[in-house]
Amino acid sequence: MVGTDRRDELPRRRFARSAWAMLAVALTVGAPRAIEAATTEPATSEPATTEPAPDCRSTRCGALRGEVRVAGQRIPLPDAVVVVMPAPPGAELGPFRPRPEQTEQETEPAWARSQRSDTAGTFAFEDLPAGRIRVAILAPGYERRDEIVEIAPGEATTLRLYTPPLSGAPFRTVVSARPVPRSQVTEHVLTAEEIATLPGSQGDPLRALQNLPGVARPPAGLGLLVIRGAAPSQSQVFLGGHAMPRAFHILSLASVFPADVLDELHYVPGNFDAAYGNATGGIVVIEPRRGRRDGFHGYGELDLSAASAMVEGPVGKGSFILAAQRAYIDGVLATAAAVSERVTGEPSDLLLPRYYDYQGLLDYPLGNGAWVAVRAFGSGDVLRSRNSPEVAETSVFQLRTDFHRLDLVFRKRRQGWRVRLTPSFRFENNRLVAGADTFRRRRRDAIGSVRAEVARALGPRAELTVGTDFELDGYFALDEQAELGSSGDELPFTETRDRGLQSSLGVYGTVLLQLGRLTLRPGVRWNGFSVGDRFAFAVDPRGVAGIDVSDRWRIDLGLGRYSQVRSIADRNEVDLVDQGSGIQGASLFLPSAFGNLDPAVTFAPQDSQLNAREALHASASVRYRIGDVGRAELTGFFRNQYNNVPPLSDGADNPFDSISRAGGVEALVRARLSEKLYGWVGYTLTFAELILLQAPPTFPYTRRPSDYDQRHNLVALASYVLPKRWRVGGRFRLVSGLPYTPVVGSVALPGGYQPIFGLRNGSRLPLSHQLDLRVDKKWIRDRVSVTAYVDIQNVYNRVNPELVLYATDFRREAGYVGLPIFPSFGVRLDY
Amino acid sequence: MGGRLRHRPIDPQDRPVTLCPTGRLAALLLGVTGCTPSIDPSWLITGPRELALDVEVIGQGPYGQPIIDTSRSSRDALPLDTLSLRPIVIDTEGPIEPESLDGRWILCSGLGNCLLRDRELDGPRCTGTSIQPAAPCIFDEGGPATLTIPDVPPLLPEISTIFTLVSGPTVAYVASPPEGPGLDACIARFEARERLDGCLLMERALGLGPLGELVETLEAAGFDLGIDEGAESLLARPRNRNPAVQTLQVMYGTESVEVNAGARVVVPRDQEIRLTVQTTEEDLDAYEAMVGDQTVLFSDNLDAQWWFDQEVDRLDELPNRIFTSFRAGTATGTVRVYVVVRDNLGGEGWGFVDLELD
Repeated sequence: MVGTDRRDELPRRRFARSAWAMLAVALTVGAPRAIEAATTEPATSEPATTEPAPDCRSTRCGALRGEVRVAGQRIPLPDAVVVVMPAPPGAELGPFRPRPEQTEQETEPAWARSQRSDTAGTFAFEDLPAGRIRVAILAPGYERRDEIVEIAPGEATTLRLYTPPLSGAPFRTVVSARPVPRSQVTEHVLTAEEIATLPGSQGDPLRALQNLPGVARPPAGLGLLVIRGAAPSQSQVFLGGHAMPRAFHILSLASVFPADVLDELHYVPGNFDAAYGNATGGIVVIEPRRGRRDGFHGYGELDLSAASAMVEGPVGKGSFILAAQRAYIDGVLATAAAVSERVTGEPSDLLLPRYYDYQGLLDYPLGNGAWVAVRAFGSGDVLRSRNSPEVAETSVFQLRTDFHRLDLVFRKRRQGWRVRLTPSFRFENNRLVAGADTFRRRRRDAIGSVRAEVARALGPRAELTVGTDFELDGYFALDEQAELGSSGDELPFTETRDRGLQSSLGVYGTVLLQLGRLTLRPGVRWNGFSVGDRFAFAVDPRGVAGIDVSDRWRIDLGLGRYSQVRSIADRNEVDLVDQGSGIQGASLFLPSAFGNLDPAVTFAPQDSQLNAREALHASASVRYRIGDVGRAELTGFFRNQYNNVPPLSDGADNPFDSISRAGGVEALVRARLSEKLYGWVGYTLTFAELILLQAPPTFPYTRRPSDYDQRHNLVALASYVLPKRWRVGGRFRLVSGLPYTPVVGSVALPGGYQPIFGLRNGSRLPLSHQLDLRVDKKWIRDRVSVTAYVDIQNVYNRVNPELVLYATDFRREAGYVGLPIFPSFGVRLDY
Repeated sequence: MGGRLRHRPIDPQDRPVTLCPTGRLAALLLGVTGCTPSIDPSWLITGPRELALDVEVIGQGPYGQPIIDTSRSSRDALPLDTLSLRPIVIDTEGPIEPESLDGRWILCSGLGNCLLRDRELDGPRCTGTSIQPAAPCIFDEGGPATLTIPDVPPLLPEISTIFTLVSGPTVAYVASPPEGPGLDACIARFEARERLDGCLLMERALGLGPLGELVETLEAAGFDLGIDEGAESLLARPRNRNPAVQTLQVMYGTESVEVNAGARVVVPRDQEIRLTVQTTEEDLDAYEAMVGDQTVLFSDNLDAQWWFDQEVDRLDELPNRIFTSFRAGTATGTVRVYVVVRDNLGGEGWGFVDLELD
C-alpha cells in the first residue's frame, strides 16, 4: 500500500478526455490491441479526472488503495493506468465484464479519475464517493481488468487486482549474467521462449540445439550433439565455465540441466575462443541464471516420463533457485512390458532407464562490483534390465552413474578490470553389474577444478583477457570378476584395484582489437594433459576476424588449432563398436553412430601412450541483417583432425592412425516476424570422412565416410501464438541417412549364422523426413498459470530408418526400423 | 518385445571398456515402438540353405588304433587320415545333390578365421604339408571333396595347449547352387564385400583326434606336450563318431509312433505335434574313465537344429533340443521337417520326416 499521493491533484481538465477516450476504446471487449494503442498514447501524461469531481463536502466519501500485479506471476505491474468511475447500475461486486449490449449503450460516466501505478504496482485514490465504483486496469501488453468495488464512507478500501499478459508475450525477460567473452565465426543463441516451445524438443535445451545448422539429426532422434560431423565425445558442454562430465542423462534421454535454470545457451560449432579447451568439435556454453528477486516463484511439471519442480526467490540482497527432476520412464516401460507379456505370453527383456537431477543456486552481491555465487548440482542415472523370470538367470545388468558438483563463483568489476574465479569440486560414482552378476566394476572420481580469468581494457580499442583452467582427478577403480567354475549363491570374486591421478591444464590469452569496422581477436591456448606419469601437451593458436561491410552485411573469418586428450571413447573410430544382436527372430544392426548412445563410462584410463588429438578449424561466414526482424547467414567450414591414435594392443581390426576430415556449408534464415511468430530455416551440407594413415595394402579401405557423415540436413520450423493463449508450432526435417556397415552375407557355422560385413560405412540409411507438431494452451489465473502441451513427433507416421534388420541367415535385409508417430503430453503449473 | 538378447562378453584384461549394450538399446527402442517389420523365422526354408557338412574318415593313415566298423561314421581324424567332405544343402524342393554344387574348398586355421576374417578366396593351392596353414589355401573345387590330413609337422605352431591344435584345422566351402550366380561371381562379390545373395558359405573345424592317440602320435614324433595327469579322462576318449538321424518319434495327443528318417507319416493338423530324435549309444560315444579312484561314464552332449519347409506355430520353450513341438497353424498338405543333430566334438548327422497333415 502507498501513503498519500498527490498524483490525482494534478491538472484534471487536460487529461480528462484522453482518459475517457482510452476507456471507451478499452470497453470494446476482445480488442486488446486497441487497448495497447490507446494506453500507449498518453504514456507521458499524468493522471486526471473528468468533471464533475465528487464533492466530499456534500457527499460521504472514502478512499481506495490498491496494487496491480501480473496474473500468474504475482509481480507488480508498474505504469498501468487505473481508472475509477461510477459503477453501472445493478453491477455486482467483483469482476465486471460488460456484455456487448452494455458496451454499446455505455455513455460517458458522471465522473472518472485515473492515475498510473507506481514501480511497486500500487495506486491510491482519495475522496471517492461512497458506494459502488468501477475500477478498470489498462496496461500495454496486458488484458483489461474491471472490478466493481464498494467504497465505504470514511474508510480506505484496499484492492489487489491481477491482470493477465496478452498471449503474445507469455515469457518473462530475465536478468542476464554476462558470460565469459567468446570469439566465434558462428554463434547461435536460443531464447527461453524458443527452448520451451520448439516442436519436438520437449523443452530440453540441448535437444533444442539439434534444430540449428551444423548439428546432425542423431540416431533415433535421441539427445546427442553431433556437431559438424564430429563424434559427440569430441564436443564439450561447459556449464558455469567447467566442462560437464555428461550433458545428457543415460541413453541421452534428457539434458542434465533444465532450461528453466539457464540464463543463456550459446552454441558455437567451431572456431571457439581460447578460453575453452579439450574439445576438437564444437562447444555449448551454458550460464546458469540468477534467481528472481520479485517474490517467490516456481513451477511443477509432469509429463509421460518425468516430473520436475523449481522454486526461486530473494535471499537478503541476493537470490536463490532450487530445482529437481525425477524420471519414471522405467516404471512406464515396465508396466508396458508387463501388459505386453500378459497379452502376448511372450517374455520380455528390456532396459529400464531412470534418472534424477537437481540444482541449487545462490547468488549474492558483495558490493563494490563484486558478486559471489554458490552452485550445487548433480545427476544420477540407473540403467537396469527388467527380466521376465524366463531370462532372469542370464541377463542381470545394471549401470549406475552419478555426479555431484559444487561451484563457487566470484565476479568483480572495478576500475576497468573484470575478474572471474570459479573453483569447483565434483564427485563421480559409476558402477556396473553385468554378466548375470559375474562381473562388477566401480569407479569413483574426486575432481577439483578451477577457472580464473582476468580481463582489462587496454584503451578504447583493445581488451586483453587471460585465464587458466585446471582439473585434477583422483580416481579409484575396482573390478570384480567371478572366478571360473565357481557356483552357488556366494560367488568368489577376483578383485583388481586401480588408483591414480589424471589432470588437464589450460592457460589462455586473447586480445580483442576494435579497429573501426574491423574486429580482430587473436588468442592462444596452452594445454597439458596427464594420466599418472604420462603426459601430452599442445599449443593452440586461434583467431577470428570480423568486419562490418555495411549496416546490414558482416563477414567473419576464423582459423585455429584445437586439441583434446584422447579417451577410450575414440575406439568407436577404429571399428570396435559391437554390432548385431538377435532380436525378435532377426538380426538387428545399428549404424556405428549408435555407439555414442552407450553410457560411455570409462572405468580406468587407457594404459597405453597418452596423446592429444589435434584439429584445425577454418570457417568463414557472411551475415545479412533482414531489417529488424531477423538475419540470414551462410557459413563454410572445414575441420582437419589428426587423431593421433596410440597403439592399441587388443587385437583391434583397425589400430591405425587416422585423420578425420569434415567440411561443408551451413545456411540459416531466422526471423521473428512479430511477437507472435518466430521461425527459421536451416540447412547443413556436410562431408565427413575418416582417412587411414597406416593401413596396409590389403586393408579394404584407406578412407571411408565418418560414422556421422550426414550429408544433408534441412530443418524448417515455426511457432505461432493464437488467440486465447494457444500456441501452435511445427518442425519439418529432411535428413540424409547415416552411414552403416552392411551385412553382405553369412557363414553357416554349427552354432548359427555369422554375418559377413561389407565395407565399413559402405551403405547409407535412406533419406528420412518427418513433421513434428506442438500445441500449447496456457490458462492464467491470478496467482498461478497452467500450461498443457501436446508434442506429436512424426505426425504422418513416416518410417524413418534408424536400424537395419536382417533375416537370421542374413540372406537379405528384412527391413528397417523407425520410430512411429509418438505423442507426448505434459502439464505445468507456474506460480 | 521378447527379444532374446546377449551381453557383450567383458574381459577384465581389456581395460578400459566402453559399454556397448546396443542390443539392449535396440530392445528398448523396439520394445517401446513394437514396430518391427515381419521377418521370416530362422527355421523356415525359403531358398538354398546350408544344412550340414558331412565329414567322415574314409581312409585311415598309419597312426592310431584301427577304426572299428560301426553304423556311425568316424569324425575324428589323425594325421594322414583321409576325409570325405559332403555339403548338405537343401532347398524348398528338397536336398540339392552335392555333385551339382559349384564350389571351392579352403583349408585354414581356427573356426571363424576362414571366411569371417580373411578376404582372400583366391589363395594358393594347399601343399599338403601343414595341418594348420598360416594363410588359407585351396585344396579342392566342385561338390564333394576329399582331404588327407597332412602329416605331423616338424614343428608345432606357437600354441598354448594341445587343444588349440585339436580344434585348429578348419575347412571352408564357398559355392553356388545350380541356379545361383556361379562360383566366380560369389568369389568376386566376397572379395569386393558386396551382397552374396544366392551364394553358399560353410565353415567347420575338422577335429583331430582322438586325443589320446593324437598325443601318442605327437610324443612319438618327439614332442613333449606336458599333458597333465588330470587329463586322463580326456585321453581315454574314443574316436568321435558322427551322430545320425535314423529314427524319429512322432507324438500327438495320446499317440506315439516311431518312424525312420525320410518316412512320411500322417498327423492330425489340429493337435500339438512333438518330434524327437531317437539317439543310440553310438551317437553318444559313451566311454568309461577313471577320475581319481572312481570310474565315471562320459558321453557326448547332443543338440539339434530343426527346419521346416512351411511356416508352423513352434512351441519350443528352449532352442537346440533334440525334440521340438509345434502346431500346423497355416501349413497345408505335407510339411517336411529337417533335423541336424550335433555332438559337442563337431560330429553331425541329418535327416528329415514328411508330416502329412490330416
